[in-house]
Amino acid sequence: MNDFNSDKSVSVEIRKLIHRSFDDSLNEAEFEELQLALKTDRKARLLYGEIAQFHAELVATKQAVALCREVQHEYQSVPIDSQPRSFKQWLPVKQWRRLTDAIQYIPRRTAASLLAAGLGLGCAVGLVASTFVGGAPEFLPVPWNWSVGSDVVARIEMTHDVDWQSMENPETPATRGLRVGEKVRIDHGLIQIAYRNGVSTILQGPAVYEVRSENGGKLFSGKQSTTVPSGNANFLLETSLGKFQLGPGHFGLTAEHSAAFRRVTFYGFSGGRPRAPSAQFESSFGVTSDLKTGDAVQFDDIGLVEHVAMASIGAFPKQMPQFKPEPFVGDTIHLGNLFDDSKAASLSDAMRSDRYNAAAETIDLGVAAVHDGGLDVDVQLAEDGVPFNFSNVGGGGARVGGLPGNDTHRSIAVAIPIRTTGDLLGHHIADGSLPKVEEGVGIDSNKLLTFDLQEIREAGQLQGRTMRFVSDRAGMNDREFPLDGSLEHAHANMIVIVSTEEEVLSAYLNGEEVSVVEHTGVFSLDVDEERATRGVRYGDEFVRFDVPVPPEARFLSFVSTQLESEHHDHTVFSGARLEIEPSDAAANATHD
Amino acid sequence: MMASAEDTFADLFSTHQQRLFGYILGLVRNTSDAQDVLQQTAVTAWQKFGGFDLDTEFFPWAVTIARYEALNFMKYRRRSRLCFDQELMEQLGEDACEVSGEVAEVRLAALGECLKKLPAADSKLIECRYTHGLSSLQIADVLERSQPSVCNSLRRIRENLMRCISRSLSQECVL
Repeated sequence: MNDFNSDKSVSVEIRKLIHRSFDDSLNEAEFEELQLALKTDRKARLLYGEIAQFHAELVATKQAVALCREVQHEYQSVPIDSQPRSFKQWLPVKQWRRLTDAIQYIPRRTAASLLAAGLGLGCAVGLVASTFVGGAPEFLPVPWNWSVGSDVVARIEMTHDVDWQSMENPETPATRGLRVGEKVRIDHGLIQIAYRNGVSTILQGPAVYEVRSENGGKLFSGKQSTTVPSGNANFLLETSLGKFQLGPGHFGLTAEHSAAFRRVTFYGFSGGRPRAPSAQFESSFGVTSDLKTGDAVQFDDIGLVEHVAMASIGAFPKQMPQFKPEPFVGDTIHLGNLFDDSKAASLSDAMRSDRYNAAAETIDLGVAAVHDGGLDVDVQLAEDGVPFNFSNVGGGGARVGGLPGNDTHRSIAVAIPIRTTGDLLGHHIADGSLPKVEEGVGIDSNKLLTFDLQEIREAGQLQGRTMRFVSDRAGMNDREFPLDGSLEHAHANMIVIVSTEEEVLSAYLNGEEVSVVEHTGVFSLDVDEERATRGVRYGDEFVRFDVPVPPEARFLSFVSTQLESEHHDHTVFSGARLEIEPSDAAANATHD
Repeated sequence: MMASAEDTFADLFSTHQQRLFGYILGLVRNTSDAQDVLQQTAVTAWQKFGGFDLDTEFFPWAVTIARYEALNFMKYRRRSRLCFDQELMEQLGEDACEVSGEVAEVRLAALGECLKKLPAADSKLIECRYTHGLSSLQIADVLERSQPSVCNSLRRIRENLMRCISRSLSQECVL
């Protein structure tokens, strides 16, 4: 029997059939042919038995080797503090799940005997029974204070130095709310996504992530840390190689994806006792692996365990960088100056820094919503704001494809910089000779931009302060020479709305306060046709906004609508700013 | 000191379980099913161990139990309706009993060495098939190859390994 293949009397066809019977399903005719051969030809039957035994040996050998590796890994993992916490310490551990399965198939005493004997395969390392004491850590859910639609399953909670990937179009989610199917693509920085159920995940750019369900998502590429609160259902995190089910705990994940290779690495930082299974991975082909607290497990390009080491938490923050509480001591907040600052910035820092041609995005400090087009239907002023309908004042028309920006109109198609102060742009910006001064907000037709006043106040410790929104010179196109069609025909309404989560506090159309009406929960401007279509045009036709912003106001929205069906042009709120009213104490001190 | 019945059974079963597994695998031709049958064989053998005569050979006794367990398994839980008849199952059992358990252990050691000599691509195939239990169809999907091509490769690799084992054992004069 050990002289394999020396007897050529077994035909090649039968030998192939024997081998294939262990790898593939035979049809009835093939099976009958095999059975007949085995019954009538002893040499064929001996070969069959030998090959069956060889299969068993391969299974035993491969899984026993995996067991030895696991035992070694367990053994070496005990003095955790003595291990260098570096990924250079990868152990060549192959998949261990299967050998655990194999043990389960054998009665406990038999398994114990096998283990004690080291399986007789040279695995001289005994099983180290490591006992750890301590319960599962408690994690507090991320606060979720929004009253938003149930289809919003997650939200952008915090950002830090984020740049979106340039391929993103529109460049940013319209609001901070994320629905199933929405993708987040960042080139740089950190972005924290909080799920409604309390799961928090922090992406590190470059990264691409998609919200897949109310309790799951998919990391296409990049680095991500996820915290699942105690008591939560398992969080489902998909990758291109398979999916992870994460129990309560803190986990890290990296997904590398290129034309040449795919690789996913899992890091279990906490979640139950050390060395206890805290997550499970199921590859795209159904192979499952239990993942333990304290392990860093690397999966190869087909989703099989490639290496195991100890997890190092350093690269996976559990919390976003926190801005330093700092009272804002100025009296003016230039709104366009917020567009280059993350939600982690203090208001003072935000005012100190500025970037020319920055766009308003919902990851920026104070920006709650940016709608590009689609103003001919009911639209939420913010994710947790009231719905508003602009159809009676020109809401409608196509999206333009650019975002509101500071200083300039920022169009993807035609990136013509336009100043909002009335001064010619000239060559000063290009040669850097003109010091940058924040000038306002440019906004295209059929767009909406909403600021979160609460966030702005918190960033400057300005809670309870009364403010005014002021734009000295609001109008169409400002100083850059427009296209001929725009020059003659473009016609827009400029609207400013102050609101809370439940109601509209005031509304202004082209600088004048107007009434609002509510119908079935949707607000609209209450104006006659003449006033609704008056609008602003190109030329020295500017209006001024001076809008009280009481302490209870939560949102400040800018809207530009398109009154002429074929032609449009951007409008500008030059010098758009919040002027902070002196506090009572300051006012009294002045009087004294 | 007399060994307890539990310890005696554990020693006997662990000594022969590898050969039993091979025999069962020949009957059911599926690794996962064979593991299930092996488990049930162990349970039944332990339940009947009181009636086992320690002066007789354990393996033929266990093979008989395994054959009945395999029959039961295929009767109620089999994945394929294609099942060898009882006569062939008995013949395969008799053949299995002719193999020395000691030689089987040496073969395993030789197999470990031969596996180390495999080219990387072949080693990957063996990993997929035996460490991770992927079917030939699943491997074909992963590697973007046809299933027949994967089956052929597996056959070629196994035959090479078996030749390697034969050479290794011949050099050690085990045969």
